[in-house]
Amino acid sequence: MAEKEVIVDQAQATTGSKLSNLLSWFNPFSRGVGMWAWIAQRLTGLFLVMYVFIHLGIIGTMLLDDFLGFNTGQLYNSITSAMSSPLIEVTGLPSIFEHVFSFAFFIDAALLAALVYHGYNGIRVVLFDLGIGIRKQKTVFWILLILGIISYFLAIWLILSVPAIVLSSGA
Amino acid sequence: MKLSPSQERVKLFIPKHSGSSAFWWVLQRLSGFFVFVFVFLHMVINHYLTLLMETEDIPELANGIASFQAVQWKMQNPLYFWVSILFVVFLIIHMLNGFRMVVLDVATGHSFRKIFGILLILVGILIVLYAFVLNSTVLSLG
Repeated sequence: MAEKEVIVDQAQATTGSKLSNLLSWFNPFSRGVGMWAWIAQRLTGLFLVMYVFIHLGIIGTMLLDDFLGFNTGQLYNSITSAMSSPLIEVTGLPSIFEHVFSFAFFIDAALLAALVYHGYNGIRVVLFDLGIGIRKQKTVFWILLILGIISYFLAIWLILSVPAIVLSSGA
Repeated sequence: MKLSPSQERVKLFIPKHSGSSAFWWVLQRLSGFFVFVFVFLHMVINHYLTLLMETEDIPELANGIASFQAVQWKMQNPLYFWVSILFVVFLIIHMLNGFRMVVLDVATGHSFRKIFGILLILVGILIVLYAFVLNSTVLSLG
């Protein structure tokens, strides 16, 4: 028994007290890049699952027109049109930023962020599964993150520069 | 047992453990690759089409590339119809299998794993059927 207590005391002396162990759980720097990448992969995955279900629900409104007595496509067009309408009126901005303050743009921006992160980190996971780059896992993470950020801003720029990406207000 | 060179190459892609968990692992990687390809196609066709072709003369796109009329117009093409179904199939496999992995990280009961897996397969089949009905209905209304 006494021997066991000595072992516990030694363990606490090397790893800190119970309180500091608990506090370190909330310290973002107590985990490495790999752990954060894993957590973010799970969170973006769950976000994308939710998004897919909402997306399938919205496009499913195409089936409801006849049931609800609307003209064909009217309900779907109304929903997508409302989503692409500006939430706040901001004047004087260049035309490329015309859709920035719409709900659809916020959703698209969040979706792309999750998609790009999940996709690039997925590539990293596959590389490690195949035994490629494990010893330089932090470097691989930062390289793919930079590539992801470039891809993200490229996609955002494309969304903003395509005028017909969302419904026109007259739909 | 000594493996042939081709078997050794295949072995590289399979994790150390074997059986059903290896099957789901390989399926997750393969479906992930196909989702990556289909997401790219989906984005180009549904969002960036106007960058690739002149769309001003197409009356179906007058209300925007995401309007119901535009979806109907795209659905007339059998390739679009079936590619979108395939996209849903791979997306659902990747999504539900990923969700299963996240849940099984914390839930380890054998019977729970089995029931949860069967439930997810049923959900997946329902979603694919839903996508097929949706595409067919949109096409029939055109």
